[in-house]
Amino acid sequence: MTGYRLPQGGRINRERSVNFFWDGTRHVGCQGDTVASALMAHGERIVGRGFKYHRPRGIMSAGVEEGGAIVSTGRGPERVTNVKAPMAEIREGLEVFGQNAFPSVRYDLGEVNNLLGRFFSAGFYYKTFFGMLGRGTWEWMQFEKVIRRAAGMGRASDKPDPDHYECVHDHCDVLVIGSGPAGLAAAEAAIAAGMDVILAEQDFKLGGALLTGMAGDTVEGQVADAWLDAKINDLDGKGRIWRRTTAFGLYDHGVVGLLERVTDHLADKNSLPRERLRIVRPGRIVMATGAVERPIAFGGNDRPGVMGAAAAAAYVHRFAVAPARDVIIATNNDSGYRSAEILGRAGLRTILLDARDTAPEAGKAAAEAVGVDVRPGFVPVEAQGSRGVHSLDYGLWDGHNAHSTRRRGIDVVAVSGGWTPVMHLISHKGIKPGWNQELTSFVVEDTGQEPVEIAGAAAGQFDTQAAIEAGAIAGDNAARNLTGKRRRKERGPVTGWDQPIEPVWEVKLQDRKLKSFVDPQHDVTTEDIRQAHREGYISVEHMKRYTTLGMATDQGKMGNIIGLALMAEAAGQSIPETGTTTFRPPYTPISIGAVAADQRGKHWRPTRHTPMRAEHERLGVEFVDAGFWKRSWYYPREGEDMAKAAMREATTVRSGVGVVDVSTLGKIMVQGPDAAEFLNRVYSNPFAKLPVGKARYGLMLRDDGIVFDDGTTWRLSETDFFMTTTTANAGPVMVHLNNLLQTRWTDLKVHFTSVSDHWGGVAVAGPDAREVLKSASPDIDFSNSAFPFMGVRQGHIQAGNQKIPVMAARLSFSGEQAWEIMAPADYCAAMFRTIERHVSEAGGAPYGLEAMDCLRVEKGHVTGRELDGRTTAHDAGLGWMFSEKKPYIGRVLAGREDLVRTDRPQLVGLIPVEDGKTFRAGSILFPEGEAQGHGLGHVSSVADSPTLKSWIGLGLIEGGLSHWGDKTVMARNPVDGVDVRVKVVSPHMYDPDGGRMHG
Amino acid sequence: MVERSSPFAATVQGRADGVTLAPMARGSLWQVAAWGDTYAEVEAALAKACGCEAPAPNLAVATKDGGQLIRTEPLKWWVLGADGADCPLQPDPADGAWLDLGHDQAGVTLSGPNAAELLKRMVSIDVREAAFPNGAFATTDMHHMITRVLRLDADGPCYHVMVMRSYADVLREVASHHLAHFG
Repeated sequence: MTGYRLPQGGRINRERSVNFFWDGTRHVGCQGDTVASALMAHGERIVGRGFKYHRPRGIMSAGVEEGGAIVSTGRGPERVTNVKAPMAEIREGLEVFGQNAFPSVRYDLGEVNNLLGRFFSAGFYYKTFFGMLGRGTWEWMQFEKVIRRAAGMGRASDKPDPDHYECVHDHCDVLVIGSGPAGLAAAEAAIAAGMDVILAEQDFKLGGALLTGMAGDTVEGQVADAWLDAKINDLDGKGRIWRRTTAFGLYDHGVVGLLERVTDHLADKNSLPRERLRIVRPGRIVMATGAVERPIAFGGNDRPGVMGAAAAAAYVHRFAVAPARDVIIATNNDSGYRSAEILGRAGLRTILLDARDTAPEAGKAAAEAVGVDVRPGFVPVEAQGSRGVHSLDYGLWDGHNAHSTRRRGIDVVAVSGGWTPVMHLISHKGIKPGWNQELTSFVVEDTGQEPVEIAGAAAGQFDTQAAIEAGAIAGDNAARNLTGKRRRKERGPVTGWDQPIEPVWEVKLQDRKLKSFVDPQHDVTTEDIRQAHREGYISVEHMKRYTTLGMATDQGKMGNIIGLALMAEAAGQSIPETGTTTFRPPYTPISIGAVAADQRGKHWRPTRHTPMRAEHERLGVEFVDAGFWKRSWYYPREGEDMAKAAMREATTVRSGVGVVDVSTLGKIMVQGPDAAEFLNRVYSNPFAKLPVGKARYGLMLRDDGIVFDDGTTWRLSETDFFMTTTTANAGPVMVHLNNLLQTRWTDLKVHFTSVSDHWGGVAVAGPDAREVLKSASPDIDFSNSAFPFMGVRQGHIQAGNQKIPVMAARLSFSGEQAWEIMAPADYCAAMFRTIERHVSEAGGAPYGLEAMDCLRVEKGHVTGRELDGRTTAHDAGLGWMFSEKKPYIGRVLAGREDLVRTDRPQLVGLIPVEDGKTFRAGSILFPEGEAQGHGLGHVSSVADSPTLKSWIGLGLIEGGLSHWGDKTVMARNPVDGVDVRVKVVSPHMYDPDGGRMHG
Repeated sequence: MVERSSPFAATVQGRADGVTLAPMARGSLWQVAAWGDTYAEVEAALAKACGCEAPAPNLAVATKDGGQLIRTEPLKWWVLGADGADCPLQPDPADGAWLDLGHDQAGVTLSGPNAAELLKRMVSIDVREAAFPNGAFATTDMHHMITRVLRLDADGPCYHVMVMRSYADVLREVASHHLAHFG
C-alpha cells in the first residue's frame, strides 16, 4: 500500500478539510497540506512525467528541489506551470493538473520516447543541427516543428494574466534568509543587538529542519516543537517575519530579490496582488538557507516511489502522511538513521541500508529501538516497477560496484546520498566554494567583500546545536559589522558526521548497465555525463550545457554534485579539480508578472500630458505617442481621416491662422552672471551679445562635431536665459549642460533648472496670427516694429475679465508669421481656450503634429529625422551658423576632413517627377537606372503639401543640391521595391526668402 | 488672475486600511540658488527671510508663513508656500538666482499609519522612521519619473509625493492602484 494519512501527529489542522482537484478529480486534504502531501495521502503515485523520455515520476522531495512532482495549477489565463508540488499549498477549489503528458500523466502517449531513448541522449539537439547526412539545416527544418512541440515543460497560457502583482522596496539592517535553527538564532541575536531585522522564509511555516523532524526531538533541552514555538513567539513583533517569501537572487551592493506568494494559498484573494516582488537593501545578510539532500544514482532511481530519505521523514513528521507501509531507506551518511527513526516510530516497516560497513552506534540504536532493520554494507541497485516501485534490488557495496544482489518487495525507496549546502545566493555574486572532503560537498568558506554571513547547514554545520550557535554568531557578527565593531567571532567549523560519509555517487553492476538518473527534471542520466566527456566536453560548464544537467528551474539542486563527481571520474581527476558550475538567479522560478509588477499595459511606461490636454480632448483630438508624450496629432472633423484633417489644418495656417500646442519642447532656465558666456561656449553661433528681449536660434554640436540639438534661447534679463530644446532631447541636453559645467567649466557661475513642466506653450501661426493675438493680448504690441522677428515680450492673455501672464517670442517653425506664447502650466488650459476661440473667430483652427510636420517640410526646417546623429551642420545646410570668432563645443572636430567633404549626404528637397506619385520616408536614393548598393542617400521626411499641390520630401543625398540640383534620381522603397522618379530641389520649397515669416 | 487648473485629469481621492490619498494643494514653489562662494550668505539671508532656521541637506523646516524651506541640492533651496506668495529672497545675480517653479510639480499626499507601506511600493528610498523622519526630503525616481518626497506629519505620518506636472496622472493612477491593495 502506498500513501496514507497517519492517525496522529503532523503540523496540519485536521479540523479544517480542504477540497481540491487533481486532474479533475476531487480530493480532500487538511489545512497545512501541500499539493504533494495531500496527493501522497490519497495514494497518488504518478504526478509528473520526465522531460524527454516521459517516464512516470512521483514525489521525490519535500522542498524546492523537487524534480518529479512538477505540476500546473489553475485553468485558462490563470494557469501557472512548473509548480513544485511540495511547495504549493492546497486551498479550497484549487485545480492541479499534471503536465508534459497526453492525455494525462498516468497514461501518457509520449512514453514512447522511452523506447527511443538512445536517440535522445546528450547533445541530441546539437547533433540534429549538424545533421546525420551533412545537411544539418535541411534536417533540422524537418524535425523542428516536432521538436518544438515536444519541448518545454507545461504550457503557459497565451491569454493576458488576470492577476496583478506589486513591487515593494524594503530596507533593514540585517536580512536573515531561512528560518531553521540557524536562521532563528541569527535573527534573535541581531535583534538583541538592536538591529532592524527581516526574517524571510520560503515555506509557509517557520522552522526549516525543525518542521521535518530532522533537527532532532529535542533542542537545547526542550521538545523541538516547543523550542520552535517559543522562538517564533519571541521574535513576534520584534522583527519583520515574511513567510512564503523566497530569496531568489543576490545582486550588486547586497541588493536581494525576494518573491512573496501572497494569495496562491487563499480561496478569496480579495484585492491583494497574487505575488509581491520585494527588493530589499539590507545592511548585512545572514544566509541560513540550509542544505538539500542528495540522491544516489542507481537503476530506476527515477521511478515513482524513489524519493529523499529526509523527505519521507518530512511527510511523516510534518504532514502525518506515510509514503508507504514498506520502505527501504538507503543511506551513506548518519542522517539516514534519523529519517529511519521517524518512519519506524510512525509504524512503517523500514529497512535501512547503509553503504558503510559499520553503522553509527547512536543512530543504529535509536533506529532499531523503533523496529528499523539496519543492514550495513548495502546499497540500492535497481528499483523495479514501471508505474511505481514494487521491489528493490540491492547488493553489497565494494566501494565501486554492487554485487551479490537480492530483491525485496517494497513500495518506497528513500535515499540519502549526503547533503549539499544551499549556497546559490552567494554563487550569484561569483563567489566560488571550496571542496570539503569531510562532507563530500562544496562549502563557501569566505564570502569575500559581499555583506554576507553564512550559518547552519548552508555552511556545512549539520548538527542542530552547532547550527544554532553558528546562527547566533552570524547574527551578532552582522550587527558588529554595522555598528563598527571590529572584532568578529569565528563562525565555527563544519560539523560533519559522527561516522564519516561514504561517497556513493553511482551504483553500478559489473555485468550490465543500469539506467540511472542524475537530474530527473531534465532526464539526464549517468551515461549522458560520460558521453559528454567522451565527445570532448571536458569543461564542467560545457558539460552542463551539453547535457542540460542542473539547468533551468533546477539550478543544480538535485544532481549537480553527482554530475560533477561522474565528470571527475571520467576525466580521471578529483572533484575539486573538475570544479563546480555557477548558479544563476532566480534560485526558484518567479513569475514574469511579478517582475513587471504594476508596470504593464497602459503603465508599461509613463505617459506625459501637456497642460492643455482637456482642451484638446474637448476639440476631439487624436493623440499620437512621441516618446512618453501624448501629442495632438490632428483634430478630425466629420468625414475626415488623418490625411484630410492634416491637409485642412495646414491649409488653414497658410491661408489664415492656426494654433498648435508646443508644450512638449524642452525648456531650461540658464541663470547666473556667466550664463551668456556658458551659452556662447555651447552653441556654435554667438550668444554673448544677444540683447535682452531677443531670442536666437542656436545650434548645439556634440564633441565629435555632429549636430546634437537645436532650438531657440530667449534672453529675459542680463543673467536669465530661457532655452528651448527639441522634445526628444530635453533630457539629454540638460545632462549635457550639467556635465560641461561640472567637469569642464567649473569656474562659471551658472545654474540650470528644467522648467519644461512649469511652462506650457502654443504657437500661433499664419497671416492672420498678428490680428488674433492683438485681440487676445491687448497689453502686448504685436506690430512689426514693436515686436520684430525674434523679439521677446512679456504681458498677458485676456481671458474674459481675468489675465494670464505670458511670455511671447516671435518665432516661426511653419514659415508663416508666428509667435510662441508661454504661460505657467496651470493657466495653459485657459490660455489655449482663449486663443483657440480667437483663432476660430478669425476662421482659423487648431492644428496638430501632422500638419505642423507638413508645414516645416515645405519650409525645409530640419528635425530629428534629418539630425539623426550622423548629420553635420553643413550637411543640414546650417554651416552658416558656425562662428569663426570663438571656440565652442565641437568646433575642432567639426572641421575634420571627413566631415567637410563636399560629397557628403546633404539636405535637399524632393518632388516627384510625375504628378500624383508618392514616395515613403526611408526610401533609398539611387541614380536613375543604377539601383544597387547603398545608394546616394535617403528620404528622411515626406508630406502631402497643400501649398505646392504635390507630394514632397526632404532627404540627404551625396553632394547635395550643388551636384544634384534639378536632376532626377530614383527613390526606391526598400520594403516593396517600388521606384519613384524624384527631382532634387532646394529644401526651402516654400517662401525661400522668408518674406511671409518676417512680414 | 485666472484660476489655476488641476494637473490631474480625475479626482485624486482614496481611503483604505490605514492610508489616505489626497491631492497636494496648488501653491507657490520658489527655487533659490547660491554660488559656491556665496552659499553661507544666501543661506543666512534666506533663513532670515523665511523666519526659520536653515535646514540641513534633504530636510525641511517650517517658515513663519506656514510654508516649508527645503534644502534640495547643495546650492539650492525650495520654498513652498501659499498660492501667490512672493519669493522670500531675490538675491542679486552676483550672489545667486531665484526662479518660479510654482507650476512645475504635481503632488499627492499619503497619510496614515500605513502611508509608508504604500510609499514603499512607489519609490525605492529607505522610508523607515530613523532614515526618513518628519521633515525629511528626498529626490528619487518612480517608474522613470523624477520624484520628490517630503514628509510632513500631521496627526500621523504624511508623505508628499511630487512629480513633474506632465506626469500627474501617472502618479495618481499608480498611487490609486497601490491603494487598492490596502483593502
